[in-house]
Amino acid sequence: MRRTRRFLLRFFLAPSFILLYSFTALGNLPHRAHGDGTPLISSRASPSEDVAAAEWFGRSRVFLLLMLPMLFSAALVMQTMVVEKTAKTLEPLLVTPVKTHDLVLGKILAALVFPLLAGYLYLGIYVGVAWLIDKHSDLLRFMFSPRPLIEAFLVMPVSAFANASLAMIVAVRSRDPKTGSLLSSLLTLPGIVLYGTQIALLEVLNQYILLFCVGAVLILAGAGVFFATEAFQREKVFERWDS
Amino acid sequence: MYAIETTALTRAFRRKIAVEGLTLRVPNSVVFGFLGPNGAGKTTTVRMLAGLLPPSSGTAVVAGCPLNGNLEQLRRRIGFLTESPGLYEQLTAWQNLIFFARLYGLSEKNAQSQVGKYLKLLDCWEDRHKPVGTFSKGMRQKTAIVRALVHEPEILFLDEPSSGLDPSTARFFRDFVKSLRASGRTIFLTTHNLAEAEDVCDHIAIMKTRLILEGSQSQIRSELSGNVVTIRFGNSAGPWLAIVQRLEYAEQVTTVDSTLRVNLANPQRDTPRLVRALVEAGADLYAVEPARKSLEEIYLELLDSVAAGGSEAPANV
Repeated sequence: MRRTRRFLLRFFLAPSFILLYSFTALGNLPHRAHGDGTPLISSRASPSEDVAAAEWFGRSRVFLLLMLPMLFSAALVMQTMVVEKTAKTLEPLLVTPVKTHDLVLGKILAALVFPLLAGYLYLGIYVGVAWLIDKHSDLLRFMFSPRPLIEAFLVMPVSAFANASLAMIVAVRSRDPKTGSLLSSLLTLPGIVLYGTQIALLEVLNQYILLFCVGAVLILAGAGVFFATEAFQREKVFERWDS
Repeated sequence: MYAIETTALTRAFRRKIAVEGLTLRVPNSVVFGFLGPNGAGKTTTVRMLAGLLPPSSGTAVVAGCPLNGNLEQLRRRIGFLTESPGLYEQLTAWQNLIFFARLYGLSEKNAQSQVGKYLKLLDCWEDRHKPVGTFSKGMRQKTAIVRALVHEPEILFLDEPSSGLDPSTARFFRDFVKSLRASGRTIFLTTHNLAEAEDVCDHIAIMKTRLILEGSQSQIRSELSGNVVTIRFGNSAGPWLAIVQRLEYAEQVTTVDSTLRVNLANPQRDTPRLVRALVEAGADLYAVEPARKSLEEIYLELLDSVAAGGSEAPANV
C-alpha cells in the first residue's frame, strides 16, 4: 500500500499539480505584462478583457487537462505490464482461458479510469472555484459552451484511449519490460504535439472540427486495440522475455 | 486414452535447444514426476503443455486438446501452479482467488463456494482476508494451489511446488497431492526433490533436454537396480561371506554388519540356489529381498552416464 501511495505521489499527483498550477502561473504572465495587475477571473476587469482572459484560461486549462490522462494512461498501461512481469503474475494470468482481446482491452480501460477521474476532478475543482468567485462570470459561461464540453468529455477520453492502446502495442512488443517502459515514454510526444497544435489553432478550432478529430482519434484507438491484440500473442510473450 | 501425449515435442530459443524430441505418454489419474537438473527444459515443457509457449516442432495432446487447436478449451481443463506463486500481493487471498475464479468463467456464487472449499481444505480459511504480501512462502504456495484448482481441472501442472518450503509444509503438500490423485486427477509434477518424487510419483520421466528415461517408478527401480539380492542374517554376516564367494553364480559379494549383498548372474534362477546353500551351511536367514536402488541413486547414475557421453536414447521401462 505504501508503495502504491509513493508511486501515485511520485508519478501522478505531484507532476499533475506542478503541470496544472505552473501553467496557471505562466498564463498570468502575458496578462500582467500589459500592466493590468488584476486577477484574470476577477469581475473588476473590463468585460472585453474578462471574456478574452476567460477564454484563454478556459481553453488552455481544458487542453492541459487533455494531456494529463493521455500521458498517465499510457504510463499506467506500461507499468501494469512491467509489474505483471516482475511480480511474476503474468504467467498465471495468461494460463487462464480469458480471451486475448478481453485481456488487452481490460488493461487499457483499467489504465484509463484513474487518470480520467483525476482529470475530471481537477476540472471540477477549477469550475467550482470559478463559481465560488463569480457565479455569473464569462469563464463559467465559456466552460459550459459546446467546445470545452466536447474537449473534456470526448477529446480527452478518446485521446487517452488512443494513447493507452499505442502504449499497449509498445508494451507487448518489447523484448524486455524495462526497454518497453522507456519506449512508452516516447508516447508522450504525440500528446505534447496535440497540446501544442490545439493552442496554436485556438482561433480556427470549432466544435465541428473537434468532433471530426474525435472520430479520427477514435479510429486510431480502435486500430491501436486491434494491433495490440494481434501483437499480444500470449504464446509469444514468454518467448520474447525468456530468450 | 492418455491424459498427456506428446510426439517429438521440440522447443528452441534462437540457437539454444531447450527441449528436443520429447515423446511422452502420461496415463490418467497418476502423479507423473518430471525430473531433471536445472536447465533441463522442465519448465519449458510445462509451459508448452499449458499452451503458454508454442513448440518449435512436434505435437501434443493435453486433456484431449491438441496444442495446435483450441487453447482456450485446453486452459479450462488444466490447472497450473507456477514456480513462483505470482499472486497480487496487495490483494487479500480471497480477492486474488475470486478474481482468478471469475477469469476461469465461474459465477460469483460458484467462485465463492469453490474458493471457500479449497481454502478450508488447505487450512487457509482463517487468513483469507489478509493481504497476500503478509503471507509466508508456504501460505502463498497454498493460495496459489487453490487458484490452480478452483475450476476443477482434469490435469494439474505443479512446477517445483515444494521448493523453499519447510519440511512440515512440504509434507502437507505431498499428502495433498496424493489426495488429489485419489480424486482421479492427473498431476504433472516437476521437481528437483527426489525424495518427494519417490514418495508421491507413480510414473517418472527423467530428462536433460532430451528424455533419458520414462516408466512407472516401481518398474524403473526394480529394473535399474541390477541383479543384486540382499540377505539379512540373525547375526553377523561375516562367517557366510566365504561360502557365498565360492558359489560360481555369485558374481560379486559385499558385506555390511548382518547383511550380504550378492550380485547374481540370473536372480530368478540363482536366488533359491543361494538360499538353499546358506541354509544347508547352517545360516539363520532373517530376510532375502531384491536390492532396490533409491530414485536418487538411479537419477544420479543416469545423469552421470549422460554426462560421460553415454546413450541419450530414451529408455522406456
